[in-house]
Amino acid sequence: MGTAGDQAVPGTAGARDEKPVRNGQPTPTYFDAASAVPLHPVARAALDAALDDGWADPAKLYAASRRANHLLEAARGAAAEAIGCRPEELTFTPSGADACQRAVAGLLRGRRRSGDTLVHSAVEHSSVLHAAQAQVDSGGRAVSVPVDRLGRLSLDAFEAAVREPGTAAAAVMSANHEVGTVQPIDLVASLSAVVGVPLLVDAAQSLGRVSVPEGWSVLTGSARKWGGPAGVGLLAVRAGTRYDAPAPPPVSVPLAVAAAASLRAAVAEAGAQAARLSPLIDRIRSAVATNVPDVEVVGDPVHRLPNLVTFSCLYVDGEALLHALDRRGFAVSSGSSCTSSTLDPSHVLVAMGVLSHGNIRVSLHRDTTESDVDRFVEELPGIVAAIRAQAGASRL
Amino acid sequence: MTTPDPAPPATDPPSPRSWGYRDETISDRDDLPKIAEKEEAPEVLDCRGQRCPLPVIALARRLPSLPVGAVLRVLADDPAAANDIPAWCRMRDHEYVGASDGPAYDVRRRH
Repeated sequence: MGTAGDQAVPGTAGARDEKPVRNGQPTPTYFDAASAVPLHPVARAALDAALDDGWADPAKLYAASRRANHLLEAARGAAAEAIGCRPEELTFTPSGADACQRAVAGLLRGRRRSGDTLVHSAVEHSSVLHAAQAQVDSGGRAVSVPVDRLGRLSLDAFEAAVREPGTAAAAVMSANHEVGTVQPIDLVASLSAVVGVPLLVDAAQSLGRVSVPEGWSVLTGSARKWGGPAGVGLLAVRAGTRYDAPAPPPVSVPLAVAAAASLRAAVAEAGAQAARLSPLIDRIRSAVATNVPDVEVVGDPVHRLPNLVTFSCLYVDGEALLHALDRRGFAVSSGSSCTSSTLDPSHVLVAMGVLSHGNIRVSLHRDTTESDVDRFVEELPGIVAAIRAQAGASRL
Repeated sequence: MTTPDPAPPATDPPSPRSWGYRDETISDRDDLPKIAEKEEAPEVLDCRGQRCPLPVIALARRLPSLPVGAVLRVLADDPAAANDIPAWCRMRDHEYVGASDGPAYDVRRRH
């Protein structure tokens, strides 16, 4: 990450204020870390080395194969250490979504003698909701536990649901991908453990951002969200969990090595990154609330991811806002229905009962600078005002 | 304007139609019997075929023209309306009365 860093102001370690320049054009400001982040430098170095040493099929018996297998085992060990489990409890999968679907199926199958019901929060990632739907389609049941206006799981409703006879497994994410609300996994885990219901924790948004949750039976993650390469997911199943699923298809050894190296780096840096990014998110939260009229900042203001903020602008078309921001060089995401392929509003925003149109999610990462954020909060009010004026909705 | 109008117009003048929504009300329609009880016959704002945020913009434009306490029925088939109309009521401190088939959403002007 060299050239720009040389000009960084001393004392602003990690917060490079000079943007990388390619072909004389400043690179666009990327604010969609919740989808994927640029490759961590450690991942790139590990990938390079593993491409040289780990190209062979790890399942054969010759020397090159043994080298590849050794690298894969080392990657498992490093990733397991980063999330606090044993290497044999961890496997790599082709993606984070694959890990979630496999995890739900494995728990339900492993517990099929105890029941056929999956209990899950209403705001889980679509991969978990699709797995829940598959359970219903095959004759089982799924119970969706509501959240409040801030996106916090109703613990009373969760407790009642896991205590129902026939509950096979529960799934609660560590932090929400759309609004950043962090769930109290320790409490959720003890409510589940009391009645012997295994708990899947989808930690895709929190790995490398906040401390790794505890108390899970199965934990899943997605490498491209912590700075690893796309195409690697993580699936950890605690020894002793009733779990029955076929092994995932083999993952590229170099990609797994890069994923593990970057996970270790991201977990180690999480505290420092949170301390740097959290004030930038606070700046966006307060600037949006102050300078953009009729805006609703959504998600828990306290128990939240340090790098993510979501807000909805009244009377604004989310797609128009997304495109306007893109023209100004900001890459963000939206939960508004007009930006989804189904034209349905985000199930997360609906479950919270907050405005779904004019919705924007801004998520920061280790390459985000203060000046990126300054430029965003400076330009946003004018962009929103222009869209409202065009819709004749300026003074409503 | 030298000729005096012999009688006041029977109905209110039509509202501006420049926003693309049909703002026909039940009282405009002569194919329906006039209903005396205002509570039973809310004003209707037809936003079918419009995508969010258009139904919410139409609601925000129309509601202030109604007396405080009156109910406006918004017809909207965009799935986001079911979420965004109650959310608008909460943000603007109006009363969300409820939904009915149509899909229709009733909003009472509170202030």
